[in-house]
Amino acid sequence: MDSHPLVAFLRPCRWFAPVIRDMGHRGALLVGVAVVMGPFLVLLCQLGRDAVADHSQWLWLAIPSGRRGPLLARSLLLACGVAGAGTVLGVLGAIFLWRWQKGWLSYLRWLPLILLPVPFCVHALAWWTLVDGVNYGLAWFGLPALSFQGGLAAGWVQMMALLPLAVGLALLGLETVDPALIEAGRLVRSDIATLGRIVLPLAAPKILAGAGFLFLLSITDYSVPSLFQYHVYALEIFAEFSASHEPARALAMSLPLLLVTVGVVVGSITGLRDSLQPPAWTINAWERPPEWSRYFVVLQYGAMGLLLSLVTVLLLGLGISAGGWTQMADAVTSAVPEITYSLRIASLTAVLCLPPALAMARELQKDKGDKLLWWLIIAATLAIPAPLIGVGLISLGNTPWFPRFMSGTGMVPVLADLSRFTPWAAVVLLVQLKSVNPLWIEAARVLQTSRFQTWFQVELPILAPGLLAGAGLAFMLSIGELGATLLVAPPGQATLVMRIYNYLHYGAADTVASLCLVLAATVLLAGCGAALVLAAWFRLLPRS
Amino acid sequence: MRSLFIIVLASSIFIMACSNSTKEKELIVYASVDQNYSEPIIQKFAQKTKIKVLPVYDVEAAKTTGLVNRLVAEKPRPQADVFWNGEFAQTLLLKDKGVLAPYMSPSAKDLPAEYKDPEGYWNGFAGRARVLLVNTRGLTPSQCPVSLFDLLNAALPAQQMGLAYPLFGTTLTHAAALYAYLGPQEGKAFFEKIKERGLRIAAGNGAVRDLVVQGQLLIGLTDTDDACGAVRRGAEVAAVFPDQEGMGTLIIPNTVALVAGGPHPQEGQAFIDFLLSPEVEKMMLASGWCQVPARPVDAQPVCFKGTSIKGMNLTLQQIYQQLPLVQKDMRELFVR
Repeated sequence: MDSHPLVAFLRPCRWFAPVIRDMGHRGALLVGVAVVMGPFLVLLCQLGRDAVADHSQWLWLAIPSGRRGPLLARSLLLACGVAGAGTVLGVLGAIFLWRWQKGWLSYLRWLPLILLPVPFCVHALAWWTLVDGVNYGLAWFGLPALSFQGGLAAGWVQMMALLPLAVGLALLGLETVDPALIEAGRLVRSDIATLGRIVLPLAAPKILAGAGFLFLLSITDYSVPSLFQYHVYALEIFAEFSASHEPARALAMSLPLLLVTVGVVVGSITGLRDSLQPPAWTINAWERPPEWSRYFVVLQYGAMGLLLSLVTVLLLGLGISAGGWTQMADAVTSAVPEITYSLRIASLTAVLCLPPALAMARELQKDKGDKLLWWLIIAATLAIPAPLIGVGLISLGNTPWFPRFMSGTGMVPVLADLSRFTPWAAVVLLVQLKSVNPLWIEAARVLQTSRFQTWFQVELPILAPGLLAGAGLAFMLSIGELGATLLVAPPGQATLVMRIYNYLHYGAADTVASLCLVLAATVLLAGCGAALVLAAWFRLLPRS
Repeated sequence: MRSLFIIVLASSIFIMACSNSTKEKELIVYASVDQNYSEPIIQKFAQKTKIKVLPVYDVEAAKTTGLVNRLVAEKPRPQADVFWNGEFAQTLLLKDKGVLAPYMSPSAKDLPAEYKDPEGYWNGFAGRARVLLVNTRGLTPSQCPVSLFDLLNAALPAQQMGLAYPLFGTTLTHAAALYAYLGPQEGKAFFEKIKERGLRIAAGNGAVRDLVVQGQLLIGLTDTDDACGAVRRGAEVAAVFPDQEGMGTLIIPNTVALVAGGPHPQEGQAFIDFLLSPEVEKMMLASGWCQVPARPVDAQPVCFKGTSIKGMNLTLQQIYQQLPLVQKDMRELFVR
């Protein structure tokens, strides 16, 4: 075991390992706080300064009085509906896909995730086109047309746009359940009872965390609700920012949203207990196919049908709108700079978010008093509207502490994405950390020749799915980011999503469709790349 | 050796991400005009002057929180040299916020006085108009609206008429123009009736155009560039310039301004001179972005040729002054 080249390479560092590791953790934590909280703190300081100076009335904006109260209630209702329905469908879909653990099917089940960065408005347009077609058919039969407006339509589009994420997160939760426990349960009770009494309770905290994600993505989005004339609190914040051009006022107005977010995040994630389960991703939990009752099979097929309908409606709609190969090739060729720039930003975000996210996740795992502070830090950044992060970053850039060489460069959009998405990666990693049995690490440390050996051969393989999921989530969210990037993109450079939105206004449906397909293909290729890297890395590890 | 390789690789990535410096002359333009229309003009300027132009384009989805907020936030350390805006209200706001610098361009000499800031902080050119886009499959010529007030006509189906949120962009400017022309009370009453009737409120002018093209709306209030795009793509639609017998149609000029403290002021001035030239106005007429040139030019717009448009008799300043009240009223009316 000691003779492995990777271990041999790292052996000389073993004496410094504890110091380096501690410094690494603290350094990553410091960087994480600076990057994640920097823009928010600058805005908070501005709000405080303005409030103390001559704008104390701005603080009243934090109270959702008048029509803002009902707006907040409507937003909560929509977000709860989307999170609830999305989670139920996600769990049903994930249970169906859970069995696909071998061969190409095991990769196929993650495929819907490539649709995650496709802008919400493109989802809305696809569903609109479908409903139009249905209405055309209904009119032909003399039947009344379907109404596709209001909260239900907005909720449907949001839920369907988030369904791949819901399924993916639920699948991650189910994957962490110990197959041995499932097998033990199946020996004495029916499969459905095993699912209800063992699997779901064990996976529940992770599924709940996923529901929290869906809730946050829904409550901070105003684009889809405004398309369907369902007005939400996020639109009010946006309108305030648009009218006043004062980020501090918009920040004050987003404080109620921040409180709700803190509640949701703390409520959904802190329920996670140390479940001390073995890594299940190499073991098939359903070697013997499960026997479900008919109604449960129907429910699963229903959820899968919806997932399939999303893939069909979106990909088929985009494929048809894109026109021929020539138009698609033209659209892609003209967007090469944007594609490469987007990939660069998203890849850097995915890689760079991991050290601070892991450090934050470790702090969250500790049973210490300052745990709540960390939750507040994470929840605060999740609730801040994206343009405010961008403005906060510009304000930070105006301070003497900001490194001058980075100003106006391609690193600033990366910082914006890190600020927005590192907390997401931290929560994903926390979920993974909660599943790790510390006794394995302790056992490895007893026998270790160096701490690096323990890290590379024990801790990293155990954390690998969490790291991959965190980086993947950050990559997907980053490649689809618009609000903050628009404010900090360096002159002369634009992301693919910026180009898509530009053409969307121009009305070039074929170009928009082609670029959305490129976006999905980019995520697919990145996913394949990550899988290959992971496979190569596993091969590099010692076999014994 | 391997660690050295990793360090070199990481440093290269970091330097690549940070590097953007070159020796040639540069110009940074923030353009809130659609990229499809502004990019060819920027490229033409770059070819002509050999100045490397680094543009930042706005997107409609960001409403007005995009480049304008960026300029306001960057005021202590400006990054941009020139702001080229597809409308005027936000440019006037930037002047008030102290973001702009005065520059009297020689190319602005023949522009009408109402399109020029007396202190030289901005210049207007290449106008667009606010039109009623009509689906010609759904409406006969006799049913076509002729006035903005036809949106309140009970004979026309409210659910099949629409406009963008009057909280952002040119629809907000249009609301401010109505406030200025009709008076705040009557202006507000107009929008209250729009809300009461239940007209469809779309996410943006582009969305209004798409809904009319698809036949989901029979009449939609939008900009001429959106209408022109639909007409050129062969959609069964027609644009009506409203109130030609009454108050006139709102014409919204592009505006351009020099950013105070921008890194390349001379190049910025050269770009402003170029943009305000009749040559550019001709290019904009040919592209479909502009339909109402600021001065007589030897060219016809690509859409709505030969149409003589009576504009609203209002100054840009009169419209701009209504903005704060309109923003407050529209939010209370439409975001609830």
